[in-house]
Amino acid sequence: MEATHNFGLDEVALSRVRELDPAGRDQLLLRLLGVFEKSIDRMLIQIEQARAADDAKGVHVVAHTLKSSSAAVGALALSRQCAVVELMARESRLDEAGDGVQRMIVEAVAARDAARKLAAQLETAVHNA
Amino acid sequence: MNMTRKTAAADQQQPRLLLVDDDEVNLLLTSIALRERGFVVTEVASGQQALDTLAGWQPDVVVLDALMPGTDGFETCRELRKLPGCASLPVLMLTGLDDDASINHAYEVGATDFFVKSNQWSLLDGRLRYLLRSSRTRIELERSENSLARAQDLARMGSFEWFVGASAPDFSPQALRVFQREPDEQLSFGTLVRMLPKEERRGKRTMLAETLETVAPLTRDIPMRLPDGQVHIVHLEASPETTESGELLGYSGIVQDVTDRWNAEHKIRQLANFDSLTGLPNRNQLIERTERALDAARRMGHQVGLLLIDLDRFKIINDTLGHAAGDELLIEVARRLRSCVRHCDQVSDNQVDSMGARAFRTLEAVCRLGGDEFVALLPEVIEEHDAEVVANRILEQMRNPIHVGGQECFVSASVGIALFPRDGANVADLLRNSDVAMFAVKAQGRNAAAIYRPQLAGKGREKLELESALHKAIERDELVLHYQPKVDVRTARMVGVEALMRWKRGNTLVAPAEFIPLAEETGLIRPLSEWAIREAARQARVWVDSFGFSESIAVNLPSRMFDRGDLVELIHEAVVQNRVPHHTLLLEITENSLMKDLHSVIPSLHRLNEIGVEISIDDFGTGYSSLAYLTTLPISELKIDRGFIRDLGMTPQSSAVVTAIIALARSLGLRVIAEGVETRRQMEVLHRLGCSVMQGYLFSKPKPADEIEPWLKDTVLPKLTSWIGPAVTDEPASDSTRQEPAQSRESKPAVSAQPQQRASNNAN
Repeated sequence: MEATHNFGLDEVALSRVRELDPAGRDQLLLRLLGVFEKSIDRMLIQIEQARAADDAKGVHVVAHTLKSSSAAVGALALSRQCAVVELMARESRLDEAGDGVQRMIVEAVAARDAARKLAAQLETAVHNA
Repeated sequence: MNMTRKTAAADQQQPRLLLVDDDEVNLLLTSIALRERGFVVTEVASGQQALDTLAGWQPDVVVLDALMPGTDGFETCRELRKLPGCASLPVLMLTGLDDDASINHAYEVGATDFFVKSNQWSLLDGRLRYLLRSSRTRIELERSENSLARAQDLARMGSFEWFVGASAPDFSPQALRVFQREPDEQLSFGTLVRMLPKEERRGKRTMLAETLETVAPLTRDIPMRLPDGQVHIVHLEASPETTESGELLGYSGIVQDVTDRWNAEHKIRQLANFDSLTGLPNRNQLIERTERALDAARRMGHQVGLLLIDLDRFKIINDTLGHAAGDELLIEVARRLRSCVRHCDQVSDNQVDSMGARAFRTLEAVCRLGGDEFVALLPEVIEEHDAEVVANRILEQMRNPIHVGGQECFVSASVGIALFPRDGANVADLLRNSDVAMFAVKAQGRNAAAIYRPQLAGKGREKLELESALHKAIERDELVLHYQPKVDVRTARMVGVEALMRWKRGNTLVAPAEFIPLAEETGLIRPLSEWAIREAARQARVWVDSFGFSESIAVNLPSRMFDRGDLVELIHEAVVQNRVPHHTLLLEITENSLMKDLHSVIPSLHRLNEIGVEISIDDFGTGYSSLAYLTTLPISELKIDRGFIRDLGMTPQSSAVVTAIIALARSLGLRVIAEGVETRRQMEVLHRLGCSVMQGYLFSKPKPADEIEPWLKDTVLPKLTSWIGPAVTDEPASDSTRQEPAQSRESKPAVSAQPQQRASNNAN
């Protein structure tokens, strides 16, 4: 297998996923990346709505969910930012979290791009194989 | 890794898992990771879906994300616990690492455990396996607790604990059930004590105090009145728990309702200690009770009374009405006897409890020794008179007739009384001496009570010796027959003899009155009668040879001899062996015994008649012969009872009876003979009334066999006696015709002989 680029996603996290599918030739990872992309799309909408409605709990749930799913695909910067937002939202310091939420959205978009690129690369590899 | 997985999977074959997570990424990863590890995973994305799924299906374990939009994990967990069958379903709550509040919250809502989300799948797997194992263990424990509880319920058993200072033991629900209480009830010591029968309370308190003081284990069967109103037997078994230094901490143990077992044991004791017919304590029980009563009497210095009660002539009732009627009678007698004492079926076993020092009073009872013998045990007698009062009460109770087998029976009893310590120091002596006293009553005519006196002892022993000696009398050749001639005063001839049994015991001649009743009682009368028949036949042969004896020898037989199928053969054999004709033997049966056993006797009478042996009815006039039967019976002779002869010429009634008997005999074509004739006057009257054949001291007393021939030679033939002349000369004119039927038979000379007892024979 030729060398691959991870597009900023954490290699350790990715290899954990690959371990789950040793003979799957990255089918699982591909599927997971697809799920992750869609999940980010949904989360972005939810977080915008929650922020507009000043709904700390809504923000909290999105940040919490996104924190663990991003960690799972190795989007560690996003995961860390989610953790920060989650903490603030839990403590209802939503006004303070304004920047943090914005940064979380930026990281989420970046992570979605990375996931897309990785998926495309994997698909090519699978196709070539 | 593979190995671990395999082992883990083997832990539980494909456990079914419900995975609840709103995050699709996690849902996917986790389910794949767990499937990899052998779980069958069902995924749902929300709390509500999870609850819906669980309503219709049950996994082995639930993995639940804590934080979800809508119904979150906590709420879901709280709700799922309410679903049927989910109360102890293992639920693993997934939380964040930095979330202490969630962890606590998870436990509060009923999660089994929590797990910090991570991608360390083997850790999750390990945790789930652990949960499944403990769940299984818990299920098994619950199952075994249930079956233990069921077993305890079945065994009516439960456990308890008590710690020093607590006012009530802590009973398990099963233990409370033993006491017929609700599972959450408290049973204080006060309540428990009040459940004891009143008389047990003091003793049990003492026992409990002693046990606590000595830190002893406790095993007791305790009677308790339970809410169902019945007294149950509760088995208590408790052992002390102590500190290492031996200080008492408390007790733990079990209680069990053993009423059924007690009842079974009671039944066994009943069979071993009680007479099955009457329900009275039996001989075993009597001996045990008496021994205990004697112990108490020795301690406390009072007397004990033993009353031996023997029914009079019970055997006759048994023989005539049958054993079923006899049994019925014994049951009624038992019932009456019980009412004469303070009869206690159960003896209080506890010296400390209830009756305290007076427990021995519960020993009082009437017991059945066997047959028609009963014993009343009076465990406390102040003076002799106390025992006599009870004895008289018993005799009084017997006076009313008893209805058995559709008949009214009159029963009386003979009661012998022996008192401890005066009349015996132990059970055996007391029983023997009450027996001696009872025999004294029998000897004096029955239906009375007597207290043992040392001078009675000899009589009892004498009787025993007599009995065993009588057994040997035949083989030792100690029995002899004496013969009393029967004469016809009209012709001044001997027409036969009656054989009368005597017992040569050492140098004394025992009179029939002293041994015939005993022989009848013991059944020895049969061999005695057989011997008499053979001996009479043998003697006849001797006389035939020495002086041409051609008359008959009368032998007395009890009716029971006629029951024997082989009586005819016996007689036949006896006469054939001695080469004398059958009519040489004549059998006398008393009117009473003939009538009593009429039906069993008749066939024998006919067969005897067929072979030429004649039958004479002895003691005629004293019984209640049915005239209808007399006409059909194969009999040849009536023998007028000596009672009528004695009064003859003194009271007009007696001559009227004799006249009637003579008339009856004549009309039936029977011979008639008078016995017990002692005076010339009697002889004359009899002769005048039409009876010329007589027997009695006037003519001759019973003589040894070898004195008969000399008597004939020296007295009868030379007509040297005073009775010959007058009777012959004083013959009434009408007699010759009236006597015709009898006379015609007398050509075949009448005889008679008695091996049977005749109290007044000796005085003849």
